[in-house]
Amino acid sequence: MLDTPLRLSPLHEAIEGLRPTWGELHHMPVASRFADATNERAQAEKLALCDASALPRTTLKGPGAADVLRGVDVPAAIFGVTVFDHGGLVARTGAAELFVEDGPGGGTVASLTSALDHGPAGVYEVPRQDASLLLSGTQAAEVLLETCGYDFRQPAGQLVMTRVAGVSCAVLARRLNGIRAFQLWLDGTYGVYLWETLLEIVREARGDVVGLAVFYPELAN
Amino acid sequence: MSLRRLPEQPREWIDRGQSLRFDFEGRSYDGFAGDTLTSALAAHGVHVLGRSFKYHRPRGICSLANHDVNALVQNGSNTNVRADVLELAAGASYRAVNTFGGLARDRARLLDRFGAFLPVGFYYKTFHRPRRWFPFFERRMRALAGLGAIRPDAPRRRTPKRYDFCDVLVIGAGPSGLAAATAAADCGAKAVVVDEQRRPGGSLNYQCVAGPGSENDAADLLRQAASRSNVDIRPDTVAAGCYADCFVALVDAKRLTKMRARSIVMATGAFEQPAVFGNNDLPGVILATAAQRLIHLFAVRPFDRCVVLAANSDGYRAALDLAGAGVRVAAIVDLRPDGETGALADEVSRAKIRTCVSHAVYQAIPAAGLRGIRAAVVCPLAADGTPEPQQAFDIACDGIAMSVGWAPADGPFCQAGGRMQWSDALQQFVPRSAPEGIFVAGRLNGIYALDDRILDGRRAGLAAAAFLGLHSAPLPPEVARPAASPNHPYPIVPHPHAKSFVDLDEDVQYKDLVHSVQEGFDQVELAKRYSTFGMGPSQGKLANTNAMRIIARANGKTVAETGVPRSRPFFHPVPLAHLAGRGFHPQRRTPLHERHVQAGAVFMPAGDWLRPAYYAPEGERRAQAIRAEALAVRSAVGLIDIGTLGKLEIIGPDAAAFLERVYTGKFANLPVGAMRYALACDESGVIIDDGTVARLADDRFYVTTTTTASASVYREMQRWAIIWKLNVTIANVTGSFAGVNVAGPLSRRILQTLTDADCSAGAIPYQAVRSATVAGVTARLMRVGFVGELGYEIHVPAYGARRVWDALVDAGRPHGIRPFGVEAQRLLRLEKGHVIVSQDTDGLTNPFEAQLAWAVKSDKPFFVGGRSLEILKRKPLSRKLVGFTLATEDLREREAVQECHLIIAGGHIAGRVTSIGCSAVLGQTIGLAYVRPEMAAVGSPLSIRVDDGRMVPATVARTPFYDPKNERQTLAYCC
Repeated sequence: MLDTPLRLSPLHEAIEGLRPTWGELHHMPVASRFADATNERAQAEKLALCDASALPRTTLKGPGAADVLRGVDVPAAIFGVTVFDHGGLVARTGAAELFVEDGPGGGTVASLTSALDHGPAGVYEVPRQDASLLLSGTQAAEVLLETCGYDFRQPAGQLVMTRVAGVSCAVLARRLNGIRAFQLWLDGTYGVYLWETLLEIVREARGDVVGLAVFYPELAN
Repeated sequence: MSLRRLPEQPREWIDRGQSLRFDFEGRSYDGFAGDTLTSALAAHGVHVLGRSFKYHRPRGICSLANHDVNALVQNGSNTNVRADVLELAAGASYRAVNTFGGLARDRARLLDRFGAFLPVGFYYKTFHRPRRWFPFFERRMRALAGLGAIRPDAPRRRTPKRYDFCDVLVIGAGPSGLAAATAAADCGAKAVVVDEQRRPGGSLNYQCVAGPGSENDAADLLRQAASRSNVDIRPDTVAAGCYADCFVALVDAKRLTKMRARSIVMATGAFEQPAVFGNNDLPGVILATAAQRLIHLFAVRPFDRCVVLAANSDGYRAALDLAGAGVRVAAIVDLRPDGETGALADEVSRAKIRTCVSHAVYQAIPAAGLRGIRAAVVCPLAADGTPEPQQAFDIACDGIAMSVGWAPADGPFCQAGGRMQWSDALQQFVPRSAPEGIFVAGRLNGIYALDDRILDGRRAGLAAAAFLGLHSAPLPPEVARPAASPNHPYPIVPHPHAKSFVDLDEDVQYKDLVHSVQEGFDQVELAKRYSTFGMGPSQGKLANTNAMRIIARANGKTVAETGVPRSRPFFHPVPLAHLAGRGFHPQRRTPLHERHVQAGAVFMPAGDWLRPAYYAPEGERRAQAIRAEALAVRSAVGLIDIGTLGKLEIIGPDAAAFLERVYTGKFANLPVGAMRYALACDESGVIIDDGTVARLADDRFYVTTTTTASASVYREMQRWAIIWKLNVTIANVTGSFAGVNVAGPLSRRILQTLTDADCSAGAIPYQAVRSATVAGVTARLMRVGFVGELGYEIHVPAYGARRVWDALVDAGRPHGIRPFGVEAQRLLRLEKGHVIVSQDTDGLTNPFEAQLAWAVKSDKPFFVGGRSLEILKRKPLSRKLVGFTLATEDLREREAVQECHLIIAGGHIAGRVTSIGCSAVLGQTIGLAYVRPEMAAVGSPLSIRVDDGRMVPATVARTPFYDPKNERQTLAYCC
């Protein structure tokens, strides 16, 4: 009897040794928390690292990409971002390229995938199996200063394509459940390396790992 | 109790409330918190702090400013630490470096007596013959050379690097720098001020302290700058390297900071320069500013009785400071024909200090053992500036303070791309042109008067703000440079017998430079390398200007014509720990990495990836494991992680046309559901990559590349897509898809248990691609034959990879499934004679040489490299890739042959081995090699030279070695 989950985070091997409380999201085990909720929130507000890879995401390519997202305020400017009510977002990553991510309860990505199965000509879905990290707290920018040559202390609101610890990443400064955080998306094959690198720095600064439920309380249930 | 400690000074840096004990060279001393090691020792009258690099002469204070390396010490595990700026630590134990038997009894001091046998460039001229003796002398010289000792057991220190950002970076926290920062900040700029000194203020901390209003000026300037919330002052921070686009490496005690500024104000000041005369290196001969630092910063009386050698007003101020500190100033020896006039001259006169105008110090007379000086030999100068030693006279003294001029600290400015030019009026280099966004101020700009430096700093700060669009009003006028130069044009009075040093770091003497020019090394960069002036740790801060003057005069040229050695980072030596810092070495892992670890994989790097080379679960030896893995694939079934292959999706109406242009093969006629080998060349016809192209839909292709080329192929494809203006979208999905190859006669049977697809030969023939689910995971099945057996590549979304791997292992366990690594895969494909691009090809290989002509379809309109290949096809080959087997039964000889060993014919290189392996299934050692075309016939003998020079015989063989009719990979047989 095969008990390996259908989907595993690129960071799973790094996280399972930290003994989290597991939840599940879209058939993927999710580290929903590592400590009690109060402590995790305090940690997240100070400095914390979290695996957000389980959130569904996709990229649409093609001149009609924006048309597929009916009813969504698609950003006009490249690297512009629109955040959905449920925590998801759509970012324009090119003139004819959109990146879409859902929050835990969102269904945009699933509906897009379904729609594109018989979809309009000239719009293509590119699979995304990213590692996604949340680096949160008041000291998070300081961690990025040690690892990234971009000044994240500037006013945010746009997706930033940069390198963090030598890895190409898309980074977005955002606020999740009232907590300031930087969300990083990267090629999943670099995920363990970047997780371990950032976690070493985070822990030197007395930060720690937190579960995804800190940022998406609905996962706590 | 320290003998030379002065009463409290107004701006001293020491904390008299904290007494510290420390050891130096085995003796115990005390000092105060805030003392440097040098100042604490000076307070005890300890003058000898180190030994020189070449002659091992005693050395003491020179600049007391990190501009020389007379005093280098070992401080625990830290070596070559500069005592002049090393803050004293309680209980610390310090030893001078570069001694044999201690500082006092250094056995190498005898070298000083053999100076005549160690002329400039001696190591280019001597000890080379007889040749057999050279290693002996080389070892001796290497043992003598070098400074401190590295302790391999030194504890590892965390020195993380950091990025930082600001609007205006001000380098130098002296009067100009502080004024610039304040002016820029007042315009709204975020300013960061860095200074290598412990406290901001620059020369105001120790020069002009007794002058009118200077103390208030310094305090005011600092207060103004510090009161701005947008000014960040960082003392103890060196701008170690300045690069293009205002990128500056800042080094402090803890870390290296990569500062990205939008604009820079260079207010780096100037280095006081020494004079050249006989024995000018001895302890007691110091720069006037060093004496002032001792007095004002550390409250130490430098001498009992001294001579001040001056060529500017600063020397007179220093003489007054010395007198004020209780030093008996025996004389001011002024190199200038007219000496000093005005208020300072009057003040000196009132202090009853003797002045010897138009005189020079000709020689310092050493005290016993060269441990100091006991007199200065002073002589008048003729009208042309030459010394008249016949009229020399002695002045008893234990110290000589030199104040003969300055050289701009232009290293950071020049590193950033600034250009300097010689000013005859000032007798120094001044900025000629600055890169965009960089501004200069203060002494670096040739401005010396305090008020002028402050004005110049404000102007530079406003200019930086204007550059950033933060200031629109007209800038203040340029500050005029002084009419009278503070720099003597030639403060060099060489002594015919006593050593007259130009570069204290490297023990370069006046005569060494003259001889360099005489020997033909007459250009400044040549003379620098031949004589090694300016090549020591100080980078010529105190040597370059005098060296240029000497070289210019020896060549009969001006300094302007002679030029200046190029300044390169770093400004000061940077600890290796800072450079190493926290290393970022991105490493890719497939989603199956943990499974490989659990299976006992021994990993090897492949580009950024870690791949299992082989699996040794129970301590199997490498060769044994590779053999077993290969046999498992040939006899049953094996499983390899191929997730590292590059994976691209080519989508759009022009996708097929695009691939026709990128690869040498044909893809427009590739049916949906089929795949084909793909070979890519560059414009010159050189092979750059290979892989497969699978057609998923009319307008959608799935392309694999080699592991290390995925990024470069992707970039190149994007470039071509733009150039060709084709309607095509390219997505690099290397990380999004994982892949495994299940190969072997039992592979179909195992796969069939896990998938909803029909795996029969009719449903998935050789070189077919199908969509299916495997273990519940959406997959792309590709029937391949790289290892020469029935096999399927299973490409799945990365999140599902581990499930698929686990399912295959579970299903294959009863059939003896075994994971195999890169080494076994290389052997298996070698048995088939399949080429690995970049192993069996190099940067010049074309398809005809690599036996890949079959993959080139010339009957299509265009493809990259097509025209070059047409030309190459008509030319005779210069080499050819062939298979070979070793024609020896000697096991040692067989194991001695390795990749890259040369094929020798007639005593000349005739080719090289590209692949070699011992095939268990064939029972022989097989390989691929490039040979001359005339040697490529099957059965031709080859001779391979191995590492120890032996020749191992081999014979050209037909490929594939294994299953020559390809029945096992292509036919429809099924176990």
